[in-house]
Amino acid sequence: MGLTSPHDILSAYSQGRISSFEAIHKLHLDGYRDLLLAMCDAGHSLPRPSKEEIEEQLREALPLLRAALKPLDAKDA
Amino acid sequence: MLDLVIPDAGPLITFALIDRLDLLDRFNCAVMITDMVSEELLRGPAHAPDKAVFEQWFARRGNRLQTVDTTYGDMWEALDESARRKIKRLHPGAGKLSIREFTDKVEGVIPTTDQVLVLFEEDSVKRMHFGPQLHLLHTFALLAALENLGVVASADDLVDEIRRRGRNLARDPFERRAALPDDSQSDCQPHYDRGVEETGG
Repeated sequence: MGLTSPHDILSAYSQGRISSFEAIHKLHLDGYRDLLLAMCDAGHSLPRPSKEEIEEQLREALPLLRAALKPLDAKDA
Repeated sequence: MLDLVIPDAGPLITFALIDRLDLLDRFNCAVMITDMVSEELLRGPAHAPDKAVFEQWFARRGNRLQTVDTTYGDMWEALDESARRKIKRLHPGAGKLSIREFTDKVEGVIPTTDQVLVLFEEDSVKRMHFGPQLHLLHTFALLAALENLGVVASADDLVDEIRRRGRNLARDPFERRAALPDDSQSDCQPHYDRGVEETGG
């Protein structure tokens, strides 16, 4: 894929062209935490699903999350 | 019942970065992670602030946080640091294998009557099969849901906060000294490990 510089690698991860595992390996990082910090530090956007994908996920998850939401003053069981 | 399955460390690291793991505690649900995720969250020196954040969260959740053992995780635990480095270098996709085993186990462990939210950031998770009752939920989608439910005022503000914290490396309490191959002390930043109170930073 010709990813030779940290910028290339972080850009590819930002655009979803490579996985976090691949980015961590190519950059010789210790783990996801370091990748997240490298992305933010270099000003890259974190990879995110498309708007449609997020809406689809929300449509399925919101009713479940709403049903499981604890009142603010609830104590843990 | 709702189960929150977290196959990669990304979502937890993201929430911990802005010290908002409490947002996951707002829901009455069990949380399930793999032993490799647990290892990634809790590794590092004992004094690392991020390690303390996760240890406190693990303790707070008690038995509502279940760590699922994997073959890869068991083998990883048995390796010394140099062997781990070698494995990471030679097998960059090993983390994915751990997630695949996790998905197989999760499918067998969760009651079929439960609903499952798979909270993830690693894109390959989308192509894995967790069972018929699963619903994928990316961290960004969860942030949007939290705003929709009135748990947070603005999802975008949290995303901005994540970016801000990531940029402020010098002041970031999650920053750690890079590990040296022989575990000796680095001499490049002699005051790096001093506590915040000590340095006044």
